[in-house]
Amino acid sequence: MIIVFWIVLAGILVAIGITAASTIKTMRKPRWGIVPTDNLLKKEIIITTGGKTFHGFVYTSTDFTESPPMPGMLLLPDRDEKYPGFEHWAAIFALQGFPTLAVDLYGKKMLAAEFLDVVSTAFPSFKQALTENANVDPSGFGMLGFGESALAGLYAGSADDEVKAICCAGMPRADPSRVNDAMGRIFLAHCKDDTMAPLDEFEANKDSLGVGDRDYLLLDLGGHGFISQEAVIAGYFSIPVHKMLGLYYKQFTPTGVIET
Amino acid sequence: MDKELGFKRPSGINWESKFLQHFLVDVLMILGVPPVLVWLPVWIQSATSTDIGWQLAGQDWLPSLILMLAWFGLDIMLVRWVMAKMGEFSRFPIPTRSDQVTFEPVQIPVGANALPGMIVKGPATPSENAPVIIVCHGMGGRKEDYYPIGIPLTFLGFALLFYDSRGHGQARFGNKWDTAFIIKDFSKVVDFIFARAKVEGDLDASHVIAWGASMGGGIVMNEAYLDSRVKFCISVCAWADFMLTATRPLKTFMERVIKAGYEFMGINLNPTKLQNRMVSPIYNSFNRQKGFFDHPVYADINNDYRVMLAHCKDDAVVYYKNFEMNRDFLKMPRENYIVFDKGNHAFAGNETALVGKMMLWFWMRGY
Repeated sequence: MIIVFWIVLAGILVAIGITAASTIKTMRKPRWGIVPTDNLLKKEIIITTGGKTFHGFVYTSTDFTESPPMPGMLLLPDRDEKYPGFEHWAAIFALQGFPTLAVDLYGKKMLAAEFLDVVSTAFPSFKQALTENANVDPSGFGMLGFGESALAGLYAGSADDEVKAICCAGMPRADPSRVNDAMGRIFLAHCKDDTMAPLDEFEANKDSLGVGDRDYLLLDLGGHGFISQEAVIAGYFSIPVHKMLGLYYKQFTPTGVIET
Repeated sequence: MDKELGFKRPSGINWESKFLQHFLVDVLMILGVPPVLVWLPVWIQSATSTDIGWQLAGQDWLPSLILMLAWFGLDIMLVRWVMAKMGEFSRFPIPTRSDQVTFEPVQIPVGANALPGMIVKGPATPSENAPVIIVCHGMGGRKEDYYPIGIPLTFLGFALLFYDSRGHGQARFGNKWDTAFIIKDFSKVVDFIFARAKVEGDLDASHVIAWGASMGGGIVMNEAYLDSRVKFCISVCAWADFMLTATRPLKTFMERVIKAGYEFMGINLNPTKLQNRMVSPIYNSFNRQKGFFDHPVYADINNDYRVMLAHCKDDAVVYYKNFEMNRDFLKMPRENYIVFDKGNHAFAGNETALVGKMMLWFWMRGY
């Protein structure tokens, strides 16, 4: 009879193990991943420039396949953000019609200064890669960067008149001498409790870059990763990108649809 | 009414529900019966004075005790698992606050009572004649739930009006299960905007937009849709036919837990046909507008302009069929909706994409 005991006990322990594994899997599920919608098309590309190789993902929307060339967006995720953790940022702009290139910068093992140089030097190649892989109007680009990658995007984007909107989130202190006059093109978002790029660095950037009162968003909480504030950031940066790239969509009106 | 009937029931629990009764019995059976059953061999041995070999280290109670403790361990793990699964619905635990955004508490009159509201404005919101978006939360929710989705729209020049439905949040009257009244209250919120626009001039009553998720989507599709004062409606994970979603066969244990959770709030998930008609847009509102005496009458509605939808295919609360019914009923152009394969009822992992699409909807309507 005691064999029944051992069988039942083993069964219960297996059930505990399965439940525990499922619980841990649920709790450790990454906050962001693949954006699973048929509206989004994705193409993986490799960009080789200056002896460095970058993996990139070009995102486009199925709603705009028959549209004329649209301005492009470049997404430079933070160095610690691994694919597909940044896909949701690319989806914002791609769904709005902007072909978007997200460059995977995860695991680039180099010092901050070298990283800045490498990424800002490669920036024109990113633009070119996007133009070659999507139906992009090369006269207008936008850029969204996070952390140190934002800094690299700022340095490169400010020197490039084709980059109409430079959106920087959680960006550390910028060296004003490396930023060309980009007043009116720079948009910042930051959280006051960011420990990687503290508030005083944001304040310094705001002043040195001449960022206007409506051109930044400063949130109380969220940290360097904008935890819980991602949707706010998504909405906030959509607005200057749309405005600066001067996009016109077909209009749905109470009396009918007007094609533009 | 319970008092008049001579009995008192614990507030808010739908004890009349057969589903809830069966669910609770099942849970009690799973959690409580096995730990009792494991003592059966001990009882047999002592009652019949026969040795059936149920002992460890010479103690007949030891195997039963070990099994009972092991089962309690499994119970704890099951509860933890359910909590982890439910945690997937709470994606924005940190409040959205910024010095650039103002929060003005308001009271929205509904008869002798009032719904607590919050008018949120940003630096781009004009001081006069600001277009308004009314944000409706879900069943069991509160106005703060959708701050992260709504607040960025203040940077597009909108004023946002979030409010607690009756029985929810800080509302001091009504019950969570007053769904039909909750839906009807929306017109009072629009009345409030009109009154405020007239007196203070900060809001533009000719630019009122409705946004809602889950039950909020139900509010928007039932009441805002009918209201000609509302320009257009964005409805996220909303039902088409309440009865269809409430009484569907449940596929998973978590779907049963979620349904039981709603019935613990007191929601009637087995409505009569009449009750269902009052809260289901495919019967109640689509292709109609309020006519004389506020009664819905058929009208020529431009749904291409008026309605936008979003849904996840794995929605465990308002299942996907509802979206398909709404989409097909309204013959929606593909620009007006977005569907995600995963994300459940909270659009988990798709919130930023949803906001991106939502901004597009505003731009496609001249904002």
